[in-house]
Amino acid sequence: MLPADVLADVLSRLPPRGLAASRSVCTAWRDVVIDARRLLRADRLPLTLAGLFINYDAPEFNFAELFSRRRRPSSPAPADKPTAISYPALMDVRDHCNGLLLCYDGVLNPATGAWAPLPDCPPPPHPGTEDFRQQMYLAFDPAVSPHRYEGQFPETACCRRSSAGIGVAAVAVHPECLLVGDGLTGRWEERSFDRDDGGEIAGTVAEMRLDERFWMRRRNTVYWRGALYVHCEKDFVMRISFATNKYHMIKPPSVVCKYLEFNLGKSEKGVYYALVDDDNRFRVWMLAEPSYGQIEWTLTHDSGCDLFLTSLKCIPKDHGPWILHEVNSEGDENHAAAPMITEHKYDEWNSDDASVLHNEDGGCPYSGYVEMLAFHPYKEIIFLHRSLSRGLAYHLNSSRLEDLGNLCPNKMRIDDTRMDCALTPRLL
Amino acid sequence: MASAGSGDEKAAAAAMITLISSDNEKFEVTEATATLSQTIRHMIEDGCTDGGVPLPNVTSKILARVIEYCKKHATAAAGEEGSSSSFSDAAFLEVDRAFLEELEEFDDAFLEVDRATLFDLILAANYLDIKGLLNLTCQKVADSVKGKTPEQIREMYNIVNDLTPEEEAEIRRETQWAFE
Repeated sequence: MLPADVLADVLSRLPPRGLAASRSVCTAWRDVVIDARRLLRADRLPLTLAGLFINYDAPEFNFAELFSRRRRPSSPAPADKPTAISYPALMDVRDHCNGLLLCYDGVLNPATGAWAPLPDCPPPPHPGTEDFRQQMYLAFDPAVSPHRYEGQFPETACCRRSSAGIGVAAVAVHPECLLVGDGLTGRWEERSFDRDDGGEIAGTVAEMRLDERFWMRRRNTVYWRGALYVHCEKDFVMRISFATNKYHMIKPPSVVCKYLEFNLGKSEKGVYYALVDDDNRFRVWMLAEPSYGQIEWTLTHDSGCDLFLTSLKCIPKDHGPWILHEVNSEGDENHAAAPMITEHKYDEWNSDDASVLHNEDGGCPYSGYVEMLAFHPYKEIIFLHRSLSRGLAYHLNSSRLEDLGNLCPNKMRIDDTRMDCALTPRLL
Repeated sequence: MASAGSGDEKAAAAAMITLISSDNEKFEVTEATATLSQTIRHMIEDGCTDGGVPLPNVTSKILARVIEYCKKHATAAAGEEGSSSSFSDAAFLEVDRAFLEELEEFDDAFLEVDRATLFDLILAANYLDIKGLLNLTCQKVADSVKGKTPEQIREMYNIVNDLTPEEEAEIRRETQWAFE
């Protein structure tokens, strides 16, 4: 029999499915797969981006809309691959992580249709956290467990796995307390983390309570290499390391933006922070690796000027490589049949497509405001929207802005709604 | 430790290394061939290869195969180095490609062995720390396991299933969620 380290070398070459099967071979194989958690590292999983779920914050929108690449008519889904993956109409896609979606009352794997209800109602927040808003987040790490973790906690909070490798958690900033729920048993337990910032940002918590940007939409969490990053009040980011059981606060980049908000996300190279300012100038920061001393944000991209000073032109409302599936309009008389959501088995996003659209007929230069929707989880692409009407993709490497298509559902009256979005990557 | 007076002797001996298998068979190889093994390279650097390198974990049958691999790859490495100065870029690329193709063919043929031998090769590559060989053989095993059910894998490698039914159920339950 092979020694464990060699067996680990062999098994690390398997795709996730093969790895999953090899766990059931015998105890030695199982232990190798469980121990060498890097084997199932999330960044090794073959993932493609299926699309974005967008929640429209307006009364007539009951369901999140899927915004995804148009299906190519000439490329029917291969017969040997399952095509009948059906997305239920999702009430409220609250979060996503490594291919799973956190919905109103459960977690969905859109690649398989698997659904798991959330554990029973989590306990009330720890005393002292009443000032913080509650939001649900999902943190799922296939490297740790093929299960899912999710938590409900104050906005300055996080989730983590339990000792069993299967967990759901919540933590409150002030009393360093963590509530861990088990995805299988639905039970919750308490854990604690120690603060580890050398007292440098003492008083951060008190300061964060003064964040007056109460209109801010939901903030994101990012799970990256064993640590969870939580976008907190005043744009501080809390980094919680599961390896050391410690957490600390990361100062925001020094940009004066009293009324603007940063967007936290994970993309190709790690943890990103992005900002679109009032002049549509777009900047991106990345976190320096923790091993290089103090963690701080480094500016890695600066559009330098208005994003729309690029040659982007308007294209007709119904055109664009991406399409909104309009699930909220189903049953309406004048609702044109949206393409089957189950059919978008398109190719993986290809940033090399020469797809910056120039439509000479349109001719109207873009204007309006720009807001961020999401980071592409595997490529350096940022999804944005322009004035709630067009979906855009900004390619960091080439500074190209691409018009993806209409984002304004038939039902929507402009100005009465807000967008929020979750990505739906899928496991191959 | 070699004395200062034996410098010439040492230089001459350094060109050839004697490897001794577990069944006491001796193999004479060039240093370039032997140093594909990091383990042996370190021994050479430490000057403890006089009188041959005993390899108690490797049988003569396997050692012969390992040497065959190292010879081929040492030659290829030397060829690449040598050609870079004597060919134009285009010619160099052509030669390079030919080398790689030949090497690939060699590797494919080299891996045409039964499973027991393959495992022995992995163990030897691991012990001797030969990265290329370890990579090659591990990938071969991984490829053979790919797409197989646990039952098929057990049958293929004569593995006894020592998981209790409860443990199996547990694994199945955990795995179902994301991967089925």
